[in-house]
Amino acid sequence: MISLNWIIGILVAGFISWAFYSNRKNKYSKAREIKKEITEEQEKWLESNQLSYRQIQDRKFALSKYVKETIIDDSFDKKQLLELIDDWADLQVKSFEDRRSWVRKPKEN
Amino acid sequence: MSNNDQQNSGGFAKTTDFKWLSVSIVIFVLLGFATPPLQSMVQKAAELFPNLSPELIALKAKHIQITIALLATCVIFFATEAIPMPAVALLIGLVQLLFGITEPSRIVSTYAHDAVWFIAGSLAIGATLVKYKLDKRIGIIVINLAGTNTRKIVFAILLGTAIPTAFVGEHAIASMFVPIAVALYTITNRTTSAPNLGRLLLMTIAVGCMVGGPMSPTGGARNAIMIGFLSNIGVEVSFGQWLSMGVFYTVIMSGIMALILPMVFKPEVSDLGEAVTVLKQDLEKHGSMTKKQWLVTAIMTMVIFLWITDKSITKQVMGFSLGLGGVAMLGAVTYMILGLTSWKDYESNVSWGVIVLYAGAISLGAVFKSTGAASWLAGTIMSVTAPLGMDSGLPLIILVIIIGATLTNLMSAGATVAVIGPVILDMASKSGTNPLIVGIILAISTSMAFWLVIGTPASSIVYSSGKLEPGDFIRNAVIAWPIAIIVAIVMVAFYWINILNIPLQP
Repeated sequence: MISLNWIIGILVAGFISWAFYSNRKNKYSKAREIKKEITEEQEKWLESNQLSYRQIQDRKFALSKYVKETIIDDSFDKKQLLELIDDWADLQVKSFEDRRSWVRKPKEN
Repeated sequence: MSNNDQQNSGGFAKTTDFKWLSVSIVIFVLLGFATPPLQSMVQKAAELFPNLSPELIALKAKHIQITIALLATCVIFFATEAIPMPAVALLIGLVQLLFGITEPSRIVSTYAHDAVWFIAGSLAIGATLVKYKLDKRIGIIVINLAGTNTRKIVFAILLGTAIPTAFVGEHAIASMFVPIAVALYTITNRTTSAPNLGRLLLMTIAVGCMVGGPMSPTGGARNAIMIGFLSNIGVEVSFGQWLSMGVFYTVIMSGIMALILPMVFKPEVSDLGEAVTVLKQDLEKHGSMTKKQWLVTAIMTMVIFLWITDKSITKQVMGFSLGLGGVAMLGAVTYMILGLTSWKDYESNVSWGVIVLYAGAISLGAVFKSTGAASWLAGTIMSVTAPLGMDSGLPLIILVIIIGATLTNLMSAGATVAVIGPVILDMASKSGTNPLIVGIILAISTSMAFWLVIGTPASSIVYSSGKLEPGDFIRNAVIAWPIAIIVAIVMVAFYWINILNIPLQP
């Protein structure tokens, strides 16, 4: 005849095994989610045709030159356009740098 | 908090999971109150407290039963993170208080131990090293010294992750090395498709972090907890002693894994000359170390020197030793006094929940010993292992290694040591086996979490890089796990007993 203590022991062992299994499953699915997020982010970067620092500076120079040559007078619109180009370039550089790991961010170290 | 932080939070960022909380309560009630204490518990109480009346002996037996119920409940909490981990630590004290196991005036003292100071100080020092990007300097040194041969780079990364992991948290080291590995892989992959190279380099980081932890007491909270448990039974372990015992495992495993990993993940290229050149150019831009970085390094070196000489030179000069915790705190406070870091930095960058959790583990160990629950459980396990000849000496040590190496794949290394440490040490004492050997080998065996992506924070970090699959961890573990167990056994049987002259029987 199985005693109550044995039944309790078996129940507890069952619960603990279930806990280990369940914990493993949950942690696995979380780890997979994080991996998926990172992979998707990397793919997005690849698809977004990100410009390098040099390309951004070249395009900024070319656009600024075009605006300066096309709009001759020092109008408010010209100033705004040049500011917009500067802001665009800064944002592009920031976006470019945000992609980089510590290895290629010497300023931070 | 980012997803990555949450994944590696070890249950600190979570809120209550009521399903598992209910299961835990059911287990606590079933084990603690569904039946009267077992006859063997009453006998154990009578043996430990011979001068008490039968009523008080019955009460002590009840305390043993409740403590066993508390242990089972903690296992569920550690496995499922059903409630925030620091809450588990505080519950351990509350159960002692509410069921009259420990006097209210003594509850707080069960949490207090030099090991807790040691964990707090070590985490604060580690946070300062990371603040000054000294972890990244290690990466730069490794790449500068490694050469271009793939196998040499693997060995350099193994040592470059293993040695720092013995002093700084593994998550910081793994996070620092992942971009280096990814850069080496990406640059090589532009000209030669090299998926195995990516797997090899990333898996090397995870393995390096795993084999580095056992080297020193600072290699993980599990080591500090074991030092605390050993101290509670009168066995003092110095930093130098642990270092001399643990270095064998780290060096031998690094050497073996440097041979095995390239066989499991056969790299497509044997020379990474082009990738190393590009990487070195990037790393050179970081410049040389600043004065503050040198100062932080000098203080860290002083702390390590004091840890190693605490029981020799310091004791001779001062007449007493500072203790591992005292030295760690000295370093942490020196950083603040010299203006290298602030309290705000410590508040933000030190996981105080970890400190509370392991203080709880120390308290659990204390109540396990004081009630006699450890002795009862050890006796019960030994009655099963004795007929198999595994209840003392080397067979007991092999059993401990296998239990530790298995359980660490199911819950965290710290939790494994916290839960089974007091019982294992009692088994050692009862069987006349040296508790120092049994205790330290248990802590070392809990570093063998090779099987799962979620085995250690470092494994989760390299997995999230996107270059590894769960199957890659299993492919590696099929070889690495049994080898680690064999290395641990050989280390005890030959290096500890024959070379370090640590007696198997004290």
